[in-house]
Amino acid sequence: MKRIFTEYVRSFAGGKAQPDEEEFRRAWAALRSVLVAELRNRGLWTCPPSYLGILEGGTWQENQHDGTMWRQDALEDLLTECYVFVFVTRFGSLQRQLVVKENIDGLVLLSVRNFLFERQKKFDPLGYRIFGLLRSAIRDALKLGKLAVLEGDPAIRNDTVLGFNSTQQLQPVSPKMLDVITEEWNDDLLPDMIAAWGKGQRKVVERLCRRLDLLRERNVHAFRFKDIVDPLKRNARAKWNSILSQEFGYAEGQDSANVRVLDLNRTEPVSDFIERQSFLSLVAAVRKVLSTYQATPTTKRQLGDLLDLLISFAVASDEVAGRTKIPIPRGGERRSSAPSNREIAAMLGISRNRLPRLFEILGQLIDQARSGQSVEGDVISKDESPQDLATQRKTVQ
Amino acid sequence: MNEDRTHECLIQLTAQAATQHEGMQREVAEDGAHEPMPGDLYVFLETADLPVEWMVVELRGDDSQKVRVVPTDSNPLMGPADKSVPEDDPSGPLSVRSGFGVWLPGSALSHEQRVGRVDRAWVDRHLPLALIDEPTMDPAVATEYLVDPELNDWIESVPAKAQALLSSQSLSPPQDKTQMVPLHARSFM
Repeated sequence: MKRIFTEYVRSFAGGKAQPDEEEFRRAWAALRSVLVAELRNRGLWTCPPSYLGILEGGTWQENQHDGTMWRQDALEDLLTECYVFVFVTRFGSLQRQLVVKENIDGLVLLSVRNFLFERQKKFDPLGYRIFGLLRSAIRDALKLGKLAVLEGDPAIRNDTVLGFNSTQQLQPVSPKMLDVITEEWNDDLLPDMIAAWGKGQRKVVERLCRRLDLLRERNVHAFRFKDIVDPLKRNARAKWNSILSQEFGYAEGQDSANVRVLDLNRTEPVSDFIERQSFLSLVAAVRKVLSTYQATPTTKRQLGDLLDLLISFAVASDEVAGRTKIPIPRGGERRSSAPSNREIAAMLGISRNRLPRLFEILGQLIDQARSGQSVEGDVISKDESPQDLATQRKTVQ
Repeated sequence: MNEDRTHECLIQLTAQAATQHEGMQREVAEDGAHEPMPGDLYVFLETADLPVEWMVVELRGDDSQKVRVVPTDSNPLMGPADKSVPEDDPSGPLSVRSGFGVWLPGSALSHEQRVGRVDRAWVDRHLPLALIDEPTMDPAVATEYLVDPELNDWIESVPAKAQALLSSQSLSPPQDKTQMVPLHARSFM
């Protein structure tokens, strides 16, 4: 087999300033094939490109005519980012491996996978989290001997077929049936499945494990992993967005009169990089302002927790609103949808009576951060994502 | 930006990365044969099947030294005890899997296997020996890690496996820690 990537990386040896363009084209085409194959393997080929942070196009297959030729904009954008991740940012690592390896094509494949994991985690934290929680629950069930892998990747991937009895010839149930069941699961598991942190996540895994065990009672004796994780994610997204809209009047295409929304001007889709930086810069600026805010340690901690929660709201609601915002109830006003407010209070371990005041302060801090942004410019580490920021939280008691 | 222009930019960016890498290689070559230093990166045939480089973090303060190395890789997923060498480091970005250190005889590290170097100031600041001895985990983050199967799989199949492979050549860690002089504190200049 031809070592396309190995030859390409080697072509830069000796400080060669300009490699053969043909070598680049071969590597580019091979990288495209690998990337598309991985997108398919991970069930991402049928998801909107926005799940990987690409704003162009509603599907990966969508073509655009740029005046001279047809091109798949979303795929080309992702391919460009993937190339930079593999062959620019990690060029040194690839070259250093050539000291002990004849062939680094496998490393490139691994790097493409890592690229996709990172993108998913950053841009679809909800999907990544649910995938991880369910996979953990299934692995627990496998360890306990409650489930068995009947077919496909034993590491549990989309194509893996699981069953409650490995000795019988079992056929996976229809995805439609699992759609109904997972909707019921979400009624029980939300909001913890999305909002639980620390040890709370482990409890969610245990609850999922129990739910899996009960599938037999619903006549589900075998299922494909994809057929259960996809509807679970889809239903969770819908329910989570419903929570958002109840709590903040946050709905597609409009900003509720009762909600003050911090809009980050996503109406003009520039590059997703600038987009991301814009949102992240704001988040970092708010954190900076918060760090110098004069308050008791408890208040500062509560404000930090609340900010994290709002960031996770903003990221999760991104696909509904079509833009990234930090939604804050106006003037600390508490809306009539008390259950959601109670949930927030419970999640953060904060008294409900205190929430309006905290919202008010946070709104002021965001205003301050926003006004300071143009003066201070880019203030965020390029590695810091909303997910990163959210995961920095301590366990909420 | 049209496709040709994008491709030209990407080729230029790769060429810049190659030039930076060449510069680092030249520096390492000019250093010549010397004792391992903190931040030095090595590759070993024993772990050639895995995507790891080994970073020197500590050695004994005598001539027949024992060197402690930890595996690093370029996967950005980070575990609770891992540290991230930034992208602007000449050898970055790298994820340092500090919980998987191995003691080796100093003689096992040859000049030819040295492939790069991480900024020493970064090593001193971010990899205190206490962290290598007992990787600390924030309980909340540790749980997060437990339910991130992608990261978990990576840790099991790369740094943990690399540690096991290299451990067959390893030495026991020095018993008397007072006799150890961490490389961080040594000067080889």
